[in-house]
Amino acid sequence: MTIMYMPKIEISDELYQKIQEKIKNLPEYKSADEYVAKILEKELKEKDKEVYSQEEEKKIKERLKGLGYLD
Amino acid sequence: MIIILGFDGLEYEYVKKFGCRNLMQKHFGKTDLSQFSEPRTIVLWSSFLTGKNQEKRILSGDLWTFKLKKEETFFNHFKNFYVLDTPGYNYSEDHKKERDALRAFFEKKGTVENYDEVAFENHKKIKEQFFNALNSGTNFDIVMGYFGVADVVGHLSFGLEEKMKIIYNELDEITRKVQEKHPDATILIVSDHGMKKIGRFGDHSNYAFWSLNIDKNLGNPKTTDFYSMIINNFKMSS
Repeated sequence: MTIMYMPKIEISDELYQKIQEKIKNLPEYKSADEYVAKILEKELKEKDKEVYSQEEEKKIKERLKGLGYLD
Repeated sequence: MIIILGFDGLEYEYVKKFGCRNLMQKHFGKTDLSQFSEPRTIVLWSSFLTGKNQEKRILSGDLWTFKLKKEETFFNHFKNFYVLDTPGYNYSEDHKKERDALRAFFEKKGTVENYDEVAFENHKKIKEQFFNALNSGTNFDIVMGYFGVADVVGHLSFGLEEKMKIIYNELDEITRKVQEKHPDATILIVSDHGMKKIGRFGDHSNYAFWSLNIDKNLGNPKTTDFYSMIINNFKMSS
């Protein structure tokens, strides 16, 4: 038998009510859980992009040289 | 009066994606840059100002210090004009600080935050000068303001959409203020090129953005086409 562990995150009642109000006008979200998960996913994806690979750095440096910004 | 808002590196797709209502005027679209080998800022603005492809001429000398004479530009066709910080004409030495900060970032001697700070400092100064001139009560025939912040910040952060949205909202707000203060003016918004993502970074794209508040659909013009439109006050067949 596999036991699934579902993590739970606590938020205040006030914030939970605000989310409930918000998703009333957002039919794509079926629950507050789904909305919060989506927002966090988006935020983390954005943060991931702040880190860049050496390949990307090399590529942009070459382009910026070509455009005259770097020697 | 004609007011030209020159927004360096303004990307058509981001203007639409971020819903920048003021940047999207009565007509807007993409500008064709296929006549240039590379979308270089000084070359593109100089070609816009003169109606001639200045690539060969500029690349034979120093790119960043290149300066056109007034007689070569469309400003020569107007009695009272004001031009602010425009590349190829009166581009400020202050922009060298941005290129120095960019170099420092890649040499690991500076951070993105240091770089952005230089860009925002320049932007704040330019914005103040622009609105002081525009609202001075002087009877200008044509005013051109150049804002480089979307391009400068974009080079290190174009892939970070939330951050770029803030910059685009700022340019949208500048446009709103101009439209509100000068409802009778012909307002042309142009970029020299757009941008495309390389991870978090931003490269120049091979098309630009234009937007006009009067009922003339310019279609897919070339950078050099704007010269005759401007000197004829957009009185051409649409």
